[in-house]
Amino acid sequence: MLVLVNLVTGSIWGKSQWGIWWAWDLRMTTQLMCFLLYLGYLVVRPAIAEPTQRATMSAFISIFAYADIPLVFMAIRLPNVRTQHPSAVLETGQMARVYWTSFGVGVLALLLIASALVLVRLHQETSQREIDSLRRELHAL
Amino acid sequence: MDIGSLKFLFYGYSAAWIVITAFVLLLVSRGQKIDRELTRLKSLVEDKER
Repeated sequence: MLVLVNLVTGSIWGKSQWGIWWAWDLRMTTQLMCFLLYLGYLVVRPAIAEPTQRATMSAFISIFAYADIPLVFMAIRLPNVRTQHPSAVLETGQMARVYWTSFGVGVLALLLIASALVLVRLHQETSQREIDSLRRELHAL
Repeated sequence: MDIGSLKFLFYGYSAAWIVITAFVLLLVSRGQKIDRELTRLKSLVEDKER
């Protein structure tokens, strides 16, 4: 969900700053790949009914999808890669001091939202396991 | 900041809030469905055990 927000708002920012909605540069393409991989995860997971098989397949896809994250991170740091993005402003210290407060508040808010959503999903997953267990119990009775 | 940039800022915030709201509504709906199913199964198990 947050990757989708990132892609949509990033595209709007690109139109505002570069005059284009999308460019197939390495950072944006790897980020799109990341979104599609996790979308695949979200589609596959509920499609498998058997809990153990669901857990195994989900873990496999999740680990495979996570392999894309270092690619996204490195996309603007690799030498000889032409990209729309400037080199990392945080590392070069090019971000103006005036932006630090809003940047920090934004990061904190995003972390809080992500944590809350993860906790809600964790609770739902626990309830779903209880449902699976009750179904097995009912089947055995 | 010129009006054009503010327009894109508005689009950006709108898109972010729309996606987050849609996801939260999806989570709430899924949570209600899970709770209903859990209650139904618990009562079924109790009935069978009696």
